[in-house]
Amino acid sequence: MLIFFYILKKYFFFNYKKGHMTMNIFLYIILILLFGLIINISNISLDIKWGFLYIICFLIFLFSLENIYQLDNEDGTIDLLYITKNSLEFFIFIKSLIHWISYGFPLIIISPILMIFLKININNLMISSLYISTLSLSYLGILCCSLIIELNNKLFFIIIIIIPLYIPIIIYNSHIEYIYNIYSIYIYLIIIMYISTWLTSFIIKNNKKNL
Amino acid sequence: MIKLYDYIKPIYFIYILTQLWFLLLLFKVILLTIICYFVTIVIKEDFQQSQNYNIIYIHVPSAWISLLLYSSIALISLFYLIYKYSLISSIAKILAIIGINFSLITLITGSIWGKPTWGHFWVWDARLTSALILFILYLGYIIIYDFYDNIIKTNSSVLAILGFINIPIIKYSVYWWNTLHQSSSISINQSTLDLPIMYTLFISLLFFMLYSINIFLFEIKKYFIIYKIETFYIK
Repeated sequence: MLIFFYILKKYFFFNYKKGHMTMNIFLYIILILLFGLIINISNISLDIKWGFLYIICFLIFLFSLENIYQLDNEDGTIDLLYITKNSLEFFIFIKSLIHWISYGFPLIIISPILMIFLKININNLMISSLYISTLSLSYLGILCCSLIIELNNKLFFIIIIIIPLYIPIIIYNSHIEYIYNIYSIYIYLIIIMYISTWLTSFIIKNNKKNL
Repeated sequence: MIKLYDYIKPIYFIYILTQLWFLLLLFKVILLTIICYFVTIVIKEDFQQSQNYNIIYIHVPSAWISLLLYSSIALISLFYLIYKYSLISSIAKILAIIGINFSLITLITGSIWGKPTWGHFWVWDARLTSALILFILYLGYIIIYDFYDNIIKTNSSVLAILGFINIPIIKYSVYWWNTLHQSSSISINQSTLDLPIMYTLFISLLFFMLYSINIFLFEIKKYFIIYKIETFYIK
């Protein structure tokens, strides 16, 4: 438990001080408001409004994945964890969760308010779908970023690698009629959480071993 | 006594490749002649699609080969993760380059065929979307492989294995969802295709496979020559 709070304090405050968190929230609000301002919301179907909100939330969270290993590269945390006998898998799991808490959770908190601006009737399933999408993106993202940990200009590579693996969640969560099948996506989320944690630590250990 | 793995040694391999080169070329010319004969003379024009139907002899074999090559890459990557032999990862990279070309041909020929048939170049159909994802997976594999300068190619292998989940999705997408793309016309027990069309399809598949093997052997030969030069300079 103490380790969790230590990691939370370290990464959460690093993200906050960098200003990325506030910038993401600000960007999310501005884009949704502009959409509501420019286009006549009354004439647009629920499908399009929900799809737009979902895609903006997804893209903003995707852009935050670029810096997921930034602090670790700067202070050598992963090298230290590789050398010591502490569990790298546990660290990866907590790190993904904290990344979601820093970047994904604020977006979900303000989404109901922004749905009012888009005249979307707030539905529990919609909020659940946002939770699942961002959480699974956090775990997938940490896996995909571990594949390209040593490269510069990661965003292009992140998009290329994540999109194929993330398509099922996009399809089931961005279409209003599919959201009712959300329980199948819960299983996908659990599988992603398990596999990505294990695979990420495997990739990092392999990269460090061969350096 | 020469063992099987001796043939992977550069000296034997390059010798065998040179012998195979002309043989493969001859076979390809023969197969191409047969295909042209069947398409132009034997097989009658389709009553609905007329000449557009002939795209099947490029589209379908390309799709099959792109799926087959990705499955091979996933399997080879698994072997690479176990044995860490650099030739294995080089083979996977060469297959990826061939596969991405066939994947692109599948998408382009499919779009060209789709316009007169469905009225659109592209629809977000399950089969088409998963085929596009396959192309992106190929692209991601090649990019990660090339951008890491060190010899160890673990990361690209992991991506290839992860992406293998897309292969059954492409295969069964026409059964699991309501798709515009038609379901399989050929199965193990039966076929809804006319016999001349089916034979021509398999001959064109063989032609494309020989073409892929030709490119693969050329690239492998290039790999061994570069390997020999690098080893020479290091010594």
